[in-house]
Amino acid sequence: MKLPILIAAVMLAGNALAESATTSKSTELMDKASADASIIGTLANQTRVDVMQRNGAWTQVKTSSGQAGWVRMTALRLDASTNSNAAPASSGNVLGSLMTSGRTSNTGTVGTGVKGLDKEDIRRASPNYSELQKMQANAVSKDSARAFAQRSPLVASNVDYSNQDKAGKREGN
Amino acid sequence: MRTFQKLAIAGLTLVLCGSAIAQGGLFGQILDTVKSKTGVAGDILDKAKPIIENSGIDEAKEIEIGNEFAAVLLGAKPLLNDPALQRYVNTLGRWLASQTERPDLPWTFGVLNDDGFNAFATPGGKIFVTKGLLARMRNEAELVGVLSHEIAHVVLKHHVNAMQSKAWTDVLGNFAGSYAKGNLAEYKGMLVNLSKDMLTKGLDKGDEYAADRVGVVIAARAGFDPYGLPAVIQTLQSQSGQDSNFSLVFETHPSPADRLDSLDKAMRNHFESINGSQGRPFNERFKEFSR
Repeated sequence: MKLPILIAAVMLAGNALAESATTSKSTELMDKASADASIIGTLANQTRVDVMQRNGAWTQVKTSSGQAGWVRMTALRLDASTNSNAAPASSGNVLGSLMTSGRTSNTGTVGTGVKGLDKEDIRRASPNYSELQKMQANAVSKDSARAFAQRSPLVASNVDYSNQDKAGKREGN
Repeated sequence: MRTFQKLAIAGLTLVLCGSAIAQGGLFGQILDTVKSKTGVAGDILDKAKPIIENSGIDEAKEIEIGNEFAAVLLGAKPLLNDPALQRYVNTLGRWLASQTERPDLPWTFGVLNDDGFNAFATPGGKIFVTKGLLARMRNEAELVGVLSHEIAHVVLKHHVNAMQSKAWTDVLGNFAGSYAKGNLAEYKGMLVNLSKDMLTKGLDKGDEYAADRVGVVIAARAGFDPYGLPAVIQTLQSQSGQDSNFSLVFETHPSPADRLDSLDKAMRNHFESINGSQGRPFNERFKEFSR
């Protein structure tokens, strides 16, 4: 009797990480994350789906019948999550992964009931120049940033702002 | 007296912006005209004239003003005590900023110890994200989207431009007065109030859309998937502005639905061929920056 409960608990924990969404319009379900992929189905407006992952402009979803495929991310509206304090991340939450001190829990989630920075906090604030100095000491050089990109690896490319003004033209391919 | 008020406002625009008018000496002409018509006011303005004419918002001044903004934010919420995380965000942010037209500003990034979901840009290149925002990032590309949006505000000089817009002229009128009188304590105090006003009221809605559009370009230039920003805005869309952790970001930005709509139009057919990186997993960054 103990084992099934444990399994159920693990499964629940797994489910808690999943995100769900609802289509905001009728949309085609594709077999790959590309406009050139094959259409494998059509999801009606207001179809509830589970969100698997995102790739560029596309989100991989799974329908209640178990069919998986890709839809345009703009065709989805994420459902309000019951636990919105931390996003599900397959490879660790940035805080859970990176926080090395001042941590109050290992979950990487943020405590509920604590009010976030609001207008009143800002209006009441006195400038904190010593904290500003601390921040300035954290600045990183352009060279360090370039080394970071090289080992990531991240490759810089030329993308023009005016790229976006060429409306209606499809690039490449 | 009304004339004086108008003049103070005009002067302040010059103090802050160093607009083309300042170089053209139009302000000087106005001063001369007014001086001949007014007594006391003209005298004060005469003394202020060289200060006002030589104090446009150049880069150094923008950075100085930005430091006041940053100190105010840090007075509201301190930095999160996590050196590895602060190093990581600074390094990632500096790489993004290096792709812009202002690569050599003293770009500095700070994670605020705050559970709310927000990010701020201040003039001159000081950028903030909250702990609560970081906790909700699904991957590095999303964090890149947020940082790039904030960097775009600085690259496009949205704060500096706002200071010369109509909405701020009342605040700035007093500001110029104090500067002209050489009262530096008063000048600093007004700068603090100005930064509080701008931080709580937010930027122009049009500036937010522009920062979204330029932000996705910065992300793409840096080698990242440019859809990280729309993904974050989609997350925002599923949140409630009534939730106190989200209220400020909702109050100071256009609705997530409108931002997504605008980005969809701007990005469709132009970014889909960009095969950008989702970035490295956060747990790998943890190892990398904890060394």
